[in-house]
Amino acid sequence: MNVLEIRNLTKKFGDFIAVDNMSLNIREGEIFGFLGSNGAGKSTTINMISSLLRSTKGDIEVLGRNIATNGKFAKMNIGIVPQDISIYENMTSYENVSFFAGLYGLRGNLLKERTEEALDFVGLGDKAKSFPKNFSGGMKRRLNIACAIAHRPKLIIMDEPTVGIDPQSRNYILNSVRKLNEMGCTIIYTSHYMEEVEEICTRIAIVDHGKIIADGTKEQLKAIITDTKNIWIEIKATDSPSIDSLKQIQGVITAQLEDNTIKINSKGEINNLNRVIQQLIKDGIEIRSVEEQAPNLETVFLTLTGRNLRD
Amino acid sequence: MNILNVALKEIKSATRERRTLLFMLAFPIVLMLILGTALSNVFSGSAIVGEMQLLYKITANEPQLTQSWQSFSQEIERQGIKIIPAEAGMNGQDLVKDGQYSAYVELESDGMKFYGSSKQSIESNVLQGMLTAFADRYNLAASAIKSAPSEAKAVMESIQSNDEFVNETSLDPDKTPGAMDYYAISMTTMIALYSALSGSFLFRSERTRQTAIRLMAAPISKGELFAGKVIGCTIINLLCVSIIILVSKFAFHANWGDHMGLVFLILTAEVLLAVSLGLGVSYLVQGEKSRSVIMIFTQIASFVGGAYFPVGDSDSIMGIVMNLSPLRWANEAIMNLIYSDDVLGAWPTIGINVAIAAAFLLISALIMRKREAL
Amino acid sequence: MELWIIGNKAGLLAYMIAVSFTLNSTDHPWFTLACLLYVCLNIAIPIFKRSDPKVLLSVASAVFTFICAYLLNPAFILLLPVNLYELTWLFGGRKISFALASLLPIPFVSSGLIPLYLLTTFLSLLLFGFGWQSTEKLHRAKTEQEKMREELHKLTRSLDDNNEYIRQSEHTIKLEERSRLSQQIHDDIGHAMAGALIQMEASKRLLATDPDKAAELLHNAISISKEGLERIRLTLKDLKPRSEELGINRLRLIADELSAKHTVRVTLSHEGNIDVITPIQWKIIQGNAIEAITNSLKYGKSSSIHIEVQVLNKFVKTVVTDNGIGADKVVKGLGIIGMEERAASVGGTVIADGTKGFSVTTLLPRGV
Repeated sequence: MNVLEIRNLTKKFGDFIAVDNMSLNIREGEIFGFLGSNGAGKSTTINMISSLLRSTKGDIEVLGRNIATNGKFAKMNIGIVPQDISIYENMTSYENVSFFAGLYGLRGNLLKERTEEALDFVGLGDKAKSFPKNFSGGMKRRLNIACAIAHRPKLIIMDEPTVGIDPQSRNYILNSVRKLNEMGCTIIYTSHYMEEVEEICTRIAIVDHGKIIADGTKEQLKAIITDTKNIWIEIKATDSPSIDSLKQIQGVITAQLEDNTIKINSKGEINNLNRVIQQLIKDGIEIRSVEEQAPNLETVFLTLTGRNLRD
Repeated sequence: MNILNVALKEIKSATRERRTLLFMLAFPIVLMLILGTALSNVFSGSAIVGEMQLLYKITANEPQLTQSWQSFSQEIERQGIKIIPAEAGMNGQDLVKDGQYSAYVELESDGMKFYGSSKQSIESNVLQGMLTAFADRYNLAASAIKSAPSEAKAVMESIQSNDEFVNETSLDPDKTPGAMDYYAISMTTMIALYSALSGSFLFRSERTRQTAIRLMAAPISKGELFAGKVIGCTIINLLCVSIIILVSKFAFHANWGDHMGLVFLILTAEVLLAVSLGLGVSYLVQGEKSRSVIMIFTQIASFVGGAYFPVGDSDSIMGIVMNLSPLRWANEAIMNLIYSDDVLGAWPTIGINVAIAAAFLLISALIMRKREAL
Repeated sequence: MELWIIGNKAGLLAYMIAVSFTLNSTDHPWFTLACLLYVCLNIAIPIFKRSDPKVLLSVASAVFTFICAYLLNPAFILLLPVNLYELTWLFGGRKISFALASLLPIPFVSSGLIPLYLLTTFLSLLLFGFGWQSTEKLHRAKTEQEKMREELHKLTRSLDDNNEYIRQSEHTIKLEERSRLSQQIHDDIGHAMAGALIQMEASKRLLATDPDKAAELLHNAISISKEGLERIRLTLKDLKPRSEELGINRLRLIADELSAKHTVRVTLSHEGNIDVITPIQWKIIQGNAIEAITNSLKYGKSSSIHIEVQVLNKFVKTVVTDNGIGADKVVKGLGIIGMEERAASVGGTVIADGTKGFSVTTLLPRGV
């Protein structure tokens, strides 16, 4: 089932087209990553999904209902973690979560239960009565997440939830995202950090100039560029390896010896590095260094758009 | 339900803003204390009357008049007024001008000429009153002599015997505001007007804290949010106002009259007006400028509305400006309510406050509807 | 707008007359005359089409009301601001001058009338502000509509042109192909077949008398036929043009041509196996490249343009970059929309970016 369906979505600010005829489906249980440089249209798209902006053209459906006509339904089922920390500094963590959860219609014991649950989930259970102004960046980020999940939304939108925090907090948050996903939440995730997106997203869309240029799993995206990888093995200059036996290994397309480096081009989806090395060891070759060159999402982005992600 | 939720949150977070709260409470109370005690004699009902010296000169050649004058002067000398005949060559007017005498009177055959000192205004006023009384009675006697000489004597005697030249009829001293009473009211209305500041922050703070995003994403309509915020802000400011009233009533013994309910209603209307004004301005004027606009407005309105010193009625442009200050409306309505029991006069003030508040709320609501974000 | 102004004036006039009558019922014939004159002056304003007489009349009316206010009835001053607004409007003044126009007469207003004056001025200002804004909006909408209609017209025409061109070129190509085919068949295969036929004919005659000779002739005929068949195959194969001929070479030709014609240097490079690019894709790539280069020449102020064709695993990427001024905000014109449409016909996308010079990237999926 599609949790989110976007059809021909367009947003113009004057002459400027921020989102350009975008169509997209997000299925239940996905962690969907939006990858794009600043001003690519990620935030604008997210803001339209969460009803912060009106679309100039096109439709958005959340759980099968159009948000233009069923705005409240969509809002009830979406939890949003804004890019900027969006909490009241003069209210305790508990009051923050409780207030926002209250806006979603939770009352009484249920509200209390869910608030505590959300705080425990982000590891701030013992900080319920503390004021966020004394919190570290990471703790604020976590509270920012707690405020978005207490009402148990089906779709959680996280806009750069890990900006400017320490690695430990980041790991905590990434784990939380996975846990939320396991609990049945569909997640939209945007980040500048390619590694994060690569690590947790089950599907990724590359966005540039308001358009989705490509989308798919990270393997599919990488395959856009090439479906092969290069393995460069530096060996002792005096050794003479049997190139032919290397060519017999499954997946290897070409292999050649240049100076003291064996250059192997192999099919990308087959993990055969072990077998190559085993073969070389069997032949008594001394290996100096091994380098595997496979494209990462950064190269995919660079190749497709001609620009770096952080331009 | 969400309205209540938002209102409660608004109240809760306002109580956390210690500094703002302290300012809203301590500022008027301290000012009340300072102004109420420092300026107490400006408002005091009793004035100290200095020594009264009356310089006179008789140019008329009428024995009757001279005689009457003498008995009159004896009479008032007994009351502690110095009557000094002007010597030849003395210019009475100049002497009064110099402040040596309280007043100078010339008795001529066709009337009296009175020159009062502007420096000793109270004294010269008293003297003027006495002399007017004297002139009236003398005229009565003089005409009596002409028409019925027999009765003239009795009239003349009455002039001499009656030493009550001045009848004291004072207003009920309790019915005029003392300094503390005045400042208790004006400071309370002033702080009520300061609610405009918190009103201007209502949505701006959500924008600067980025919480507007969350509020917009939540299933709560802009209307509910708006109503909740206005209600919350009005309540918290009204709470401040009530505390100030209570402090001034019980600690400073300020007179709040017998219509506390209505006074409170006037103040509620004023707070509502201030909050809506702040809110409206924060929507009409972008960014930090709105804060300055509100600041300037409240300061000017406080000043011309009589927060720091009482202002009189005036028909000049200044008068028009004064009458534009919501503070003045509230002050006048409350004063009239307390000191003249003018219950009906309160309603137009409440009405006008609520009407303007409604106008500003409407403007803000319209702008808010039109905007995509908060 | 003019109706609104008339309404505004009429309302104010009626109000002023009503007030004058109820307050001091000294029915002055001069007063009535002044009112009538005012009506005449102001009704005349919208009659004129040109703005000069309008301004003249409006000024006259303003002066007239001012004089009346002094000589006859101070309430006439209430009518003044509308004329002032009208003048500011006729002169195309800005918002602030409207406000100024309303405040200008204040020193001349008798003090009793000030609040009333402020009220009427404010209401009129609102009316004018609203009217002005609406007129502006309408005007803008009209210009936009005009522009859009023009664009639509242009697009339709270019569509027609293209359709016509396609039809014609199809026709020409068909004709050319047909003649080439018949020529070739005639030249090569025709001769061969004729030769084979003669030999077979001869062998039939010799079959009874000289079987050996007949067999030889038949053998000849068979080999000639074989050769002919092979020719047919070759001819047909030849008919299919090599896609590379159309593709990268064509693009190079375009680049060279442009370099020669203009002062820019157009360079071309390619990477990957360009054989996999289908003729349709080449057509799109060429179309977009020409469009992008035209744009660069027109707006980019660039000195060199580079075309890069890169075959990726799943996409064919063509980038046209210039070293010109670029654009902070890319505003989509007809050109870019055209490129997008071309690309979209095979499921591709176009990215136009103006941050470093101007670049247009066309991404076409492979295997479509």
